[in-house]
Amino acid sequence: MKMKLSLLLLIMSLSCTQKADVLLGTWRVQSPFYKATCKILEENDSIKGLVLYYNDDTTVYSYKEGEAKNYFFNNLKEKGGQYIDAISGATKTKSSNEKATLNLLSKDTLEITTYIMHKPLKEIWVRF
Amino acid sequence: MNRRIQFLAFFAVVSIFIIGCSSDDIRNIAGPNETIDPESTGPTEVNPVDINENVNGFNLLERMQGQWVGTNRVIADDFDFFAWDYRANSPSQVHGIFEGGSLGNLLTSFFVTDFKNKRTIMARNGGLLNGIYRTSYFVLDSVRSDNNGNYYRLVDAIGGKGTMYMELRFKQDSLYWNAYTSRLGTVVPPSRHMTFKGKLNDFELAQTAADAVGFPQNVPAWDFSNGFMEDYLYINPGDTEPVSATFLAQAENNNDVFTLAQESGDPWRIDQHPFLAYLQINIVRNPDVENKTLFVNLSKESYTDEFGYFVSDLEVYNTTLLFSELSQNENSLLATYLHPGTYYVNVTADVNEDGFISEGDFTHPQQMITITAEGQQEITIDNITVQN
Repeated sequence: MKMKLSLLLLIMSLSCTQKADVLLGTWRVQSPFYKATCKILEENDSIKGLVLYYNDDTTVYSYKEGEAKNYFFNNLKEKGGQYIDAISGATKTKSSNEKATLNLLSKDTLEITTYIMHKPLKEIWVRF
Repeated sequence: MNRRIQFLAFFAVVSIFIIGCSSDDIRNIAGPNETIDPESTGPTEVNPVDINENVNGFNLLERMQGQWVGTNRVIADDFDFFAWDYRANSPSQVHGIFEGGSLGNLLTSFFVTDFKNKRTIMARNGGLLNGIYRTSYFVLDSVRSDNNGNYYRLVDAIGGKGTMYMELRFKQDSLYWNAYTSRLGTVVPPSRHMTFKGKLNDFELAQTAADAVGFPQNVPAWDFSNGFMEDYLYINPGDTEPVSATFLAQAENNNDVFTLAQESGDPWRIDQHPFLAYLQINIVRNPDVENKTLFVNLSKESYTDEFGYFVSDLEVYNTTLLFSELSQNENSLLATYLHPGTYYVNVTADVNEDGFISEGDFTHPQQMITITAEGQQEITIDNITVQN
């Protein structure tokens, strides 16, 4: 019985990992307003979106190994074919229905919906 | 090629040009210490730049002058065309406004003042949007000049970068202007609110204004040496202290900027601004344009000829100084904080309802008005009868 339960948990765990696996990799934001590169990776049992580069023509950030990390997404979870960020950044106030969502349009194309001041903003990310 | 296609093609070319020009090599413009700070979760210290010691700070006022044309993303709305018309309205203040019409307006002026025992530059930002009057004050806290251009950062005068801030970078004839906000400190850290990228398109109007008011001079345009009247500062519900140098007012069924300014406790009200004027634009609709959206644009060159037809030179659209939209049931617009000078008033009825100025829309013969300093003038457009 114990062995069956362990096997079931292992299968469930593998199945979840497989779903998230499709997001892993480096992605480039397609936007005329800013340039950004994000690495979706597994870190401390969470799927996160590490900011590698951000440039809106006044603020420029490049991640360097060993320095403090910034994240686009902190804890991506699969739900009904979508990926939802369970913690969308360290915000003081966050409406529960305004979580960042990721839709995989193809293996190399993501549609990201984020919320700015309660307004949804859709962007396309392509695999680097 | 029909006019609509020409118009769209023109803006596509302009957009591509702007995007192309912004794809400089990757450089850390902000410098090694100016990263996105995940720890900025509330008010931060405010340290004004002393422009008596750092003259590059004072130069912001001069760099800001001119008509800037480009693209803008405001929150989640993208504008393929956007223009700011910055001109001096006193020896030490430059002013620009987006007059959106039904939507409301958004202004930012930059001026010399004394604050926290320093001669510095502040920005007055706000407007009347959806019936809410807001004015927020920012102070210059970072200046840098290098081969990436001239960089300026202004932060909330009370809450600092942790509450909200704006960054401007000038490089040759380009302006990159970003604002980051936090709903007055309730959603921190601040996130990108406005992203404007533009080119200097006209300097003549700004030069005329500068000559008229004796700009630029390093003298206070308004006195903030004693800070703000704290009783009037907006305090978020549940908080005991303000986290932003912001003044707010809202009244049901009242969009009167003058009374709302008084109610907000704004230390520098609209009626106290020198040189700027008002224009009341009235529109009389004929049956062809009833219940149609109206584009009310003020420009340096007329969109139409003496018969009311669109001119063939698409460059006239780039001379737009104010661009407003009136909904189907609105027939008037009060343009406030208006720079004195000569304007063409172009009212276009969106008869084909495509959301653009295009072939099929109704216009009128060109109509010019000269606005006097501190004047209150009125114009009526009652001949929107020409279908293009």
